[in-house]
Amino acid sequence: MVVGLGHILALAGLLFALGAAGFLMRRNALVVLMCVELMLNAVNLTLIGFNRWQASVAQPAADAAAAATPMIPHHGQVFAFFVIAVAAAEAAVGLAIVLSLYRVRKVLRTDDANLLKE
Amino acid sequence: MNPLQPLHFANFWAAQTDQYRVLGWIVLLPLLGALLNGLFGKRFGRDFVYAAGVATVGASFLLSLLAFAALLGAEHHAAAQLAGDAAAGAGEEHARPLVQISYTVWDWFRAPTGAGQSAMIKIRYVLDPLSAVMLLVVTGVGTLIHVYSTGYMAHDDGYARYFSFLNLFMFSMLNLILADSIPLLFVGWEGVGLCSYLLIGFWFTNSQYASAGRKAFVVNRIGDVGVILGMTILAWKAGAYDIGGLRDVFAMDHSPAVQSLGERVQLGELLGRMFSFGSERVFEFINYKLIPQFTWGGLATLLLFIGCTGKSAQLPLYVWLPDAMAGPTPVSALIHAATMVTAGVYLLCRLSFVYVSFPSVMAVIAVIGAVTALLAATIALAQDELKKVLAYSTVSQLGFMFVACGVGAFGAGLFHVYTHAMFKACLFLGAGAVMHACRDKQKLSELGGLKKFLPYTYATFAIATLAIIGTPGLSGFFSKDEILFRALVSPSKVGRFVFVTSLLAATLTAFYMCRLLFLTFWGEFKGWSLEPAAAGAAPHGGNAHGSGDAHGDDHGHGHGNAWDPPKENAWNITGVLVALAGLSVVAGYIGLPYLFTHHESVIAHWLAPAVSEWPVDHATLGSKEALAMLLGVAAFGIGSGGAYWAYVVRGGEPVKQLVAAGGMRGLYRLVRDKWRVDELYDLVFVRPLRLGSDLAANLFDRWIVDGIVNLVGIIPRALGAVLRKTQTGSIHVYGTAMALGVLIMVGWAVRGPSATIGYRVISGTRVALEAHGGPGYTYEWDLDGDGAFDSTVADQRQEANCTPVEAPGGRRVCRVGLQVRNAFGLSRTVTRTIELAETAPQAPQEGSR
Repeated sequence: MVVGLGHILALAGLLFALGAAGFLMRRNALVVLMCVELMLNAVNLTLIGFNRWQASVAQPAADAAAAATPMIPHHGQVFAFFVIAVAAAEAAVGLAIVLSLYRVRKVLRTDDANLLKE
Repeated sequence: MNPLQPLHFANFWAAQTDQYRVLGWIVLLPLLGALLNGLFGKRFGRDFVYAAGVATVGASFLLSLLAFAALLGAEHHAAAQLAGDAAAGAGEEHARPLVQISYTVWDWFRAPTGAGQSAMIKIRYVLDPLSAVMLLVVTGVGTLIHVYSTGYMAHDDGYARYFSFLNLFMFSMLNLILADSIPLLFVGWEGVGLCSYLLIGFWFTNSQYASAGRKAFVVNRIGDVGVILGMTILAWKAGAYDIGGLRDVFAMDHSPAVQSLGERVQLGELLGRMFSFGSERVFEFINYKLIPQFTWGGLATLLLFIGCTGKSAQLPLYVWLPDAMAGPTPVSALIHAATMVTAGVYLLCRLSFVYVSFPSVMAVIAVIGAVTALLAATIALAQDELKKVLAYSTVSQLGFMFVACGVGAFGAGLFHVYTHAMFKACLFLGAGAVMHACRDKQKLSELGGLKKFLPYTYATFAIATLAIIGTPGLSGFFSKDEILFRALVSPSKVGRFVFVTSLLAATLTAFYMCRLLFLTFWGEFKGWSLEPAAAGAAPHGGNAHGSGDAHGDDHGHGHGNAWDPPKENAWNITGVLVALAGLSVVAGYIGLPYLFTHHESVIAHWLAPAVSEWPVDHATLGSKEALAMLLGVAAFGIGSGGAYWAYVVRGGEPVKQLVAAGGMRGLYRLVRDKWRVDELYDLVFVRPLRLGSDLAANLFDRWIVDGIVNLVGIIPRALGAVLRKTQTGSIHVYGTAMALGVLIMVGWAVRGPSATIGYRVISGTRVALEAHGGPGYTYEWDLDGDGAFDSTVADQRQEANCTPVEAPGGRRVCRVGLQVRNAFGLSRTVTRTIELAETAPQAPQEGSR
């Protein structure tokens, strides 16, 4: 079986749906953060997948000189790195917030973190 | 120029007459003084304030003398040139030309002067014979009063503020006098009004004084509306804001501008145009025939005169001046007697060349002047306060000046301004000296016998009184008799009436001024018996010296024995009094009557080029002049003699009898209450206004305006109450809302595209088509109406010949189809029927549209 773009996108969609469902349904702040990471990784997967697909359908180079050093597209991969970096930062900030929430309220339930409503 | 003409010293000064810088300094110096005193006066102390206040104004006076010398030089130069021309062969006698010296500071702004035209208004100061007289009077008397103020305000803590205001007043007044254009004059006009307000309410902690200042300000504003409107009409019709330009326009024969000023104001037309909504005219129902008809010029001059009645305290706007005595006495002398209140007369003289062409407005001026003179004189008869009598006397004398203007003798009016400045300043300052020496007493019933305690004050006050009542030989005699004579011989319809009224007013003037003199300085000194010694110097009545407490206590004679007699004041007070009394004696000799000298008086000759008048032939009217003079002297004799008889010979008994006699008591009370004019105004104007304000504030504002505002507040609050429910604070609710939103947006993009066709028939079967656009749409058209989409025409916009078919009813139509496909491959189709023109197909007319 050839693993094509469709498979990758299906997996990514599954992962994203899993993350989104978890984000909306779970109440534990740590789990919510992990679900956010899951969604981000699903996006990363689509980026990588599209990058690979683009490389496979790239037009052959017109002249010999260009054909000798084929241009492999890597925008998607680079973008995935950006997403990972942002996700790391987000995790750091998010965990810090969760930690201080715990110190203040002694709970990790997101339902209890509604102080700003008032 | 005739080379044989001997060199004259003044030729030197006349070197440059179009950019004579001294004029700028004359105006600027008092402003400098005002700034110095206002900003640093408190820090640098009394000596600095006195020095700066007096020095700037004094320097301004000296420079005025210099400028006057330069003007004399220029006059001499012009006269010599004229004589040279005449000798050269012209041979005919020319009128003396108007010589003026000017200084342009800068271009101020450009203002419209009629449809599509405009004129530059400059900050430009002009010295001509008319403004020179006013300049010397104002700076001269102003300097003296500044010196006097250093004595009078010696015990007041507000000295810096006082001198700052007084200097600012001088600055504004000089702007008014030297202004080249009416707008600049108006700046000065407003400036003096402001300073008047500030100085009337100088002791603003006393609410009565503060409201007197407010009254002056508000009443003057009524007049100022007239000045603005009059100025604008004049500029609009005559095409000039500057006085020189206006004079040129009026000097022309058959000038279109002057003719347009003579046109009638279509008041109905005007009001209709102002208040028309579409074709509806709101005031259509008014019968405009009932409204007095004005010419444009008459309206403008009348409006300007209304301004003058405000500033110069004439009927009906005189009511502020008596109340203005709340200010310090030197202020009353300078602003409310000698200078500012004569601004109205000065404005009339400035524009005399306009006024002489409008005899009915002149008649109005004369009548108002005469009636004011008489009315104020009657009120002055029964007043009990020193300064109140003098205030009504000022109103009355201003009435005389307006009589002069109204009978076409503007020069005589200005002559009276000039003599009045001397003796009325002296009288006010004398009254101030009395109050200063007598612990701010100014009730006639509490004064008396001051002759032996205040010899200098008495002597100067007596001289000034003799001058104002027209004692032959003193200044008031010459100016007042000139006015009476000119009223008698004027061609005006109302000449006789104003003559008789003025004569009556002159008689009363003599009476009440002598009464004032006798009750203040003659008779028994009443001591301080009416006032407990311990109370010291509590201020009296309505218009007592407001700084009373500090004032009396610090003063030498305020201390000690309750029976200490009043002492003469310091040199800076008495010296000024002596100077002004001297001027009151000699000032009139520049206006000797024709009857005595048989040639034009100095002042009349001097003013002739600057002031237009109704001509008077003195030579043939000698008998009338003698008659006027005789009656004037009779008025003086009867008035002063009556006062002597009533108050000295009979010791005031006749007055008491008169008051006691039943019939006269009501009249006496009415006169003492100033004819209850203030009460009348209160009833007619103030109360309805108050009522209107009350309604506006408590009904309209509170319920309607506030209601709208509150409604604006309630709507968002109600919306907020609903929307607040959605803010749960739960991150999961927000997340769900976000996910739903994304789903809806995706669904919107995924749903079928919209397909609509817009068209325009160009000609015949030629049509322009346009499909409704959307993101990622592709289009397929069916232009020939065969139902098959033609994939070769894929543009959103098309222009093509369609295939017409016959439709029921003989119409010709086209059918076009469109298939739109979006990025998700979903498509929608639509067909549209295009109505073509009913006529048979013609040759296509490309480009016809």
